[in-house]
Amino acid sequence: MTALVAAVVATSAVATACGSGRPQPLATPSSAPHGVTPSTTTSVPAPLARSRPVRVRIPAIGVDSGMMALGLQADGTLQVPPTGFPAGWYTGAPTPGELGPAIVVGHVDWAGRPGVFYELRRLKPGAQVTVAREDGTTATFRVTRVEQFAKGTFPTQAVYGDIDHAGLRLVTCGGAFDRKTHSYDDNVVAFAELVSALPA
Amino acid sequence: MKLSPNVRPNPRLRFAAGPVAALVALLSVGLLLLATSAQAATQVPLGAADSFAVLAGAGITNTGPTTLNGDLGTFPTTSISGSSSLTVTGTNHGGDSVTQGAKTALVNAYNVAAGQGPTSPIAADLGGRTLVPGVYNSASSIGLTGALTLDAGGDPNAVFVFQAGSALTTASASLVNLVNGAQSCNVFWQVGSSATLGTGSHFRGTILALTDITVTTGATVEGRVLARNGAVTLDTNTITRSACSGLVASPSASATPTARPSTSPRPSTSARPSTSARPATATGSGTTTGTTGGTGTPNGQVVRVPTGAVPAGDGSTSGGGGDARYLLSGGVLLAGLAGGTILAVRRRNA
Repeated sequence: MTALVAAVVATSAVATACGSGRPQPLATPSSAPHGVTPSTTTSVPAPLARSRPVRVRIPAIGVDSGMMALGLQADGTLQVPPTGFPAGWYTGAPTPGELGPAIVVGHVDWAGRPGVFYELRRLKPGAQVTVAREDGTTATFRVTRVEQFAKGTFPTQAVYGDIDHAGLRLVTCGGAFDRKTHSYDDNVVAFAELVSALPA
Repeated sequence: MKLSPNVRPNPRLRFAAGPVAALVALLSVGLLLLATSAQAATQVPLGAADSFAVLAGAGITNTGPTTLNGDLGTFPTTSISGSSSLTVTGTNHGGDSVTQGAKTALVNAYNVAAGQGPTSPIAADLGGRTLVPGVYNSASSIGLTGALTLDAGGDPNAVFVFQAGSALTTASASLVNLVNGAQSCNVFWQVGSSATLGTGSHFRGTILALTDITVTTGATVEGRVLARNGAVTLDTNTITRSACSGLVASPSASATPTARPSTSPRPSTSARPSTSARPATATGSGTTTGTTGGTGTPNGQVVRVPTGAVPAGDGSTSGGGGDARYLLSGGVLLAGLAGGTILAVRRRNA
């Protein structure tokens, strides 16, 4: 069954790529980066080709949002959306569904209202996250853990480091808000991994 | 008055010492927590305005061959004239949603810059001076005739913030020098009214002006000219948006290129902040790409690793907030202590 899904995914990805005239290599666990141990579980689907995410849905907490592209600010920190909605994806990281850590950011609040990721801290392991991509495929992730980190010791490696599967990190703010520094004390990060993909 | 040996001293007095001491200590701690601590200038977050070299509210007018390295946009007035002689490496967003998002971010950046402190006063023209990192404030105008030197003392992350109550005016052929690691991406000019850069001058930093910005003939800017409510006037200029060099390069073992899919095809839609994942001005060895070979560092699936944490909230729904929190918990503690004292006294007298 897994092989069938993988085959369907692989076929559709290639077909889409041929249709767009731009060949996009399909990253597979067999081409894992140097020094990273490939996953030994066989139920993990093959990662998808690169494709811009257009929508993210988290049914458990009522998130259904479009996506905007985010880069880096002048000081090297991650850019964030200019308002409470929509969520955004970091263009310098893999797209959701590709091998590696995809990064999706949303505000916890903005201008007096809850932001798109207001409820992220209440997400539980096992919750489902789906990301619709520009090429028509849909990547479905399952949350493995939700953690809260002090910003002063942000876990750069855990969030941005290489991994052996298609992963997703949903990031927002949390903890107490420090009015002197105009920022929240913590970041809330939900880690998730690809569990299935639907063709276009 | 002489106490009878059978009369105990007032029990309330005996109990008062402990709770009162605790209250005094609590108040002292509370005051310490509430006291503002001296802060250096901190990076002003530009958000969606980061990718812009020129941003205006009341239109952009250009004369002569002007080169812009960065985006441009204007909103709510969306007119841009003289664009035929504009050479843009970036996107002309006109008045679109990206520009609008950048305008919102500009207001926030302006307020952040204006609110920084404590400040050192600017008493006279900045020409001929060498300044260390910090926040510099003039209640009225700021002028520059000649050369201003900004010395970061070896810290590439050192920030300089200038606050002008009214106008910023630089003279012809004036210049801003950066030494000892100072970077124009870390220099911010918050201008309470309008900014005018003199002919042939060389300016550095991001101007955040409330009203107009006029870049006169031949002036160059390594930075950004961002005007909130006014217009931006250009005349044969070169404006290059500056991006800081990102991660501090760790000792990098040879990082074997990982099996990444093809390098990023750009999203086709224009509704985005259009900030590239790589620095706009790659400077060879000084530019890091986040690919270091150590075991504890990212290896390359993320092409350029962001530094630090993620600012994803403005605290507008956080209720009590940072300072009130201490007052609140102090109040609760006070009430508890007071209750305990009364209880003990009652028991004693019963």
